[in-house]
Amino acid sequence: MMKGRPVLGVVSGFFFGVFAGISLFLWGVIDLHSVWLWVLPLAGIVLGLVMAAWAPFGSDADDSRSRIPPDDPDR
Amino acid sequence: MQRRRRYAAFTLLASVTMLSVAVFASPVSAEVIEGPCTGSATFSGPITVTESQPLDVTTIVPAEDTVQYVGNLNIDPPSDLVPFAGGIDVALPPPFGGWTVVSWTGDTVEVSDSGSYAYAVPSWVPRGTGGLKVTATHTQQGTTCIVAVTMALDGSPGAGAFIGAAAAVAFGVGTLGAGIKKKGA
Repeated sequence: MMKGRPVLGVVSGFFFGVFAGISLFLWGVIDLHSVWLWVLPLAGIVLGLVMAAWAPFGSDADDSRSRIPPDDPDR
Repeated sequence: MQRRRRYAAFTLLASVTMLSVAVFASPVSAEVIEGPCTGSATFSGPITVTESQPLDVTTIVPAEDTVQYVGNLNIDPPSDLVPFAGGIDVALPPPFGGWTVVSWTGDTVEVSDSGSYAYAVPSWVPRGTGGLKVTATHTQQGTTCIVAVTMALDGSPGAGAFIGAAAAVAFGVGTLGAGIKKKGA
């Protein structure tokens, strides 16, 4: 189940990979015929989906409940 | 929650590290050459490129120059005119194949050529990039010669490189943003 934002993950991940590959080429790190120029967009999509499924950021109802001490009428 | 954030940060760091190692540890590959031909191109400097230069060596050439070239098919010259064809391609990322820069065709009795060629690469072509795999092909009298070299234009990355890096960072933040929990999830 996706707890995060899968559409944002796929779209952002794809363009993250595209621009990361273009930047690596323009900065002279990889060659123009490198397979990384299409591997990186795919890896970006996978990363976006993983982030959406994992959703490690933001408020968690269970965690926040566990951090709030129950009302103690004796205190 | 903090443990989850630590796991997320560790996983991201590990992913970036693995990708970086894989990118920087490119395998060494020998130059692809087919046929008996030999040749060289000399740019100002002088910078000389020959048919025996390995593909993993990137030759940095000026964006504007006059190149002195020599080429020889190393086959017996024909007694009469024979057809020839060939061209120069720049390899693009898969699956786009190649971009033909120039092609030639005709009839000749020669099996070698030499001379000079002046060129000027347009200003919109990025400088200081990674290598471009340039492949020259020539077919004549049933013999095909294929020579490939890796070249790049001299210069420093322009505004496009900074724009590309900024876009990568922005979309990277967006990708991380996909990990923010939806309300009610």
